[in-house]
Amino acid sequence: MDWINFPIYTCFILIIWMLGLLFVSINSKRRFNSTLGNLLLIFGVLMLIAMLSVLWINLERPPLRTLGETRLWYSIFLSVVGLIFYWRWKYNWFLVFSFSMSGLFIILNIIYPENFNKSLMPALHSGWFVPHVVVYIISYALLGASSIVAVKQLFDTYVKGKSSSNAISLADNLVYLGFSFLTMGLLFGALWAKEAWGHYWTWDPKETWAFLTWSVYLIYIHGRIKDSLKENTAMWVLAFGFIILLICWFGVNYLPSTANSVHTYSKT
Amino acid sequence: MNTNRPTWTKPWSYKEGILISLSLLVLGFGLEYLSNGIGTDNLLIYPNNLYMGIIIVTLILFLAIIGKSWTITEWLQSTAAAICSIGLLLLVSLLMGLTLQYDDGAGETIRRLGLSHILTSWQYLLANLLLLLSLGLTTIKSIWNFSWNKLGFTISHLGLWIVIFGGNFGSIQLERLQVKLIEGEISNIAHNNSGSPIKELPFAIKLNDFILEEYNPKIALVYNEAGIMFKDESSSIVIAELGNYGTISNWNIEILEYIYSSAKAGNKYYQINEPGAAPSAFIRATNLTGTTVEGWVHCGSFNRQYESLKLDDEYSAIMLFPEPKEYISKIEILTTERPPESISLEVNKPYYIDGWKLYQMGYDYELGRWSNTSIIEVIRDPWLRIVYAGIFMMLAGAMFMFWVGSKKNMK
Ligand code: HEM
Repeated sequence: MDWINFPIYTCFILIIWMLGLLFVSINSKRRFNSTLGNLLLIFGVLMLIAMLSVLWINLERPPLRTLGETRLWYSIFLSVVGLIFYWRWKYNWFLVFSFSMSGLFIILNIIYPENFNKSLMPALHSGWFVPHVVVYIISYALLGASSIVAVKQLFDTYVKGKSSSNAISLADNLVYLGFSFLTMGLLFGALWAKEAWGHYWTWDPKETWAFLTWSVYLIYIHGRIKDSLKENTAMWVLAFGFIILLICWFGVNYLPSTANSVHTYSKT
Repeated sequence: MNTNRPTWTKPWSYKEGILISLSLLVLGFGLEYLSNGIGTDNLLIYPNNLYMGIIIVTLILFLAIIGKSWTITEWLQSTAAAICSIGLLLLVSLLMGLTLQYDDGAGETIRRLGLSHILTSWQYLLANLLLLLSLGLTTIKSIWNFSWNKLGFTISHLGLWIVIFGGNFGSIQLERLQVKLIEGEISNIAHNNSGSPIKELPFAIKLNDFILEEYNPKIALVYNEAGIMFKDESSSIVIAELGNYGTISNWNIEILEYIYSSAKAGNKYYQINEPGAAPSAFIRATNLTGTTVEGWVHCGSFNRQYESLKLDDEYSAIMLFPEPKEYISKIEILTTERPPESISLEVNKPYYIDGWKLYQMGYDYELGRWSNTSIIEVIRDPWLRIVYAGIFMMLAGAMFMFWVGSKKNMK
């Protein structure tokens, strides 16, 4: 990337976020601290969005193809989701977690910058491309957040010996929203696949793992109906779901079952 | 969940669910092994899929009407059954996600247990049957006691049932064939994957022209000795475009001239339009120490030699083959009833005719944009509309879910 100094620009965002989190966490009762903290966090997110927009214009295609580009979207959505849920539920720890996760993805991008390749194979020139991927990324951000809640809850239960009663309803909320997006992403993908590859579902490894991810969250949702599963079991399901989600997202390329997948664009 | 209740007494819950799911799994592996790993391939052919469908639907209606208050019916309508049946399918799919499918090199035991062809294995079929029963009965119950508040619930479950049913039993009737076309010639013979002609189509296709658009090629560095490309994730290519520049390794590369369709005469490249005339670029490479090398690179084609530019003892600059951007077949569809129709068939934009969908699939990759053959995929899926109806119901269900959110927090 010649047009922007990625490491310096993003390090600046990370520093702003750290300051923001500091102000929010330190004595958040004081109005001034919390407002300043929030403004800093928002400013950082806006800088990230600006960067993404410039990238989009420069690449002359939606930046949704390489792992590095999707990480960027993920960082943005994770931080936005973190802010919205913080405003709604006032969990400091949630804010810290979501911004740290988001920051982690930025750091990964600094360590492993990928080449920003302008060409896009013909099968990807489709009206379905952007809705499919954006819906997926929103859902990953929400489901990722729900898993953070689950891990925190499990930690509190087993290590601290006391758990919060609000956490599970936060997790439910995140999963319901995230799952509805995940379902849309899956179905958009199927409709697109019919147009591009001739069949809506071929159990290609990427599709198989997308189905696995979807099923785990489906189990969680049904386990929560009338407390069918114990709360702790449900939390384990969520934590496990995130592992499957991560495999689906990056791991698939490395599995033996992927030898002839059509979905591993970033390798070519 | 009441853990003191003895197993198999009413109402069944997780204990029974896990036992049922595991028995089905063992049964599946057993049947697969006994059938010598042939799986359900020969079983689920047309019209057996229709009989199978009728049996399932009848069974569901039977349980829902006659066996309404049976323990098993009530269990199948419970969330415990939902979780166990989704869990079973998840387990079977996990096996599919972890092993290479349709692998001819799979070991004997792997094959005999169905692990190399999960989709046509008994364990997969049984897992789907359990899911269809549970989901079907849940759906019927919600249709019996229909309420507007539960509309989202009803359509998402019904939609999913239709998708699983149509996707598994309907897609057996999917026909996926190819037609190989040569410019100026007409064909109505469809081939299968291995190239043997197997079907006469109800229409014929004539290829008038095949057009391939390409991206500008990329300039890259290769190691002279090893002959492999230099790659560091950040900046290992420069796109060949007049005036473009970039840094690869310790070399600054600048494109001084770029010709899309060119051929060499003497020691220079000229614009020329004939088959095989490929892109070339005149580049200037400057080292950090100030050394400058200038010269032509050319990517070559089926009838032209490529040309690289040696920079120093370590590297040479090369031009990669341009990548395809879009390919289009200008075709004419000929039928006995209607006047011929001219269409442009592009990737991602299939064309529908008489129950078949036509897809631009491939071309002669060696000839690239000079290819005068085009491969069209023709696909017929009589169940597509039914599955699509299910998909749209699920989409509507997902929107409901988004709108309503988790009820527990609505208070
Ligand atoms: C598209 C996928 C699915 C979605 C979005 C979904 C969603 C839901 C939701 C939101 C509920 C709660 C309804 C309420 O609160 O009244 C529910 C209940 C239920 N679902 Fe699903 N579900 C799906 C697939 C399945 C599958 C595959 C099964 C069974 C194999 C199943 C069986 C059940 C059962 C038994 C209930 C409880 C009904 C009751 O007790 O009233 N669902 N589902």
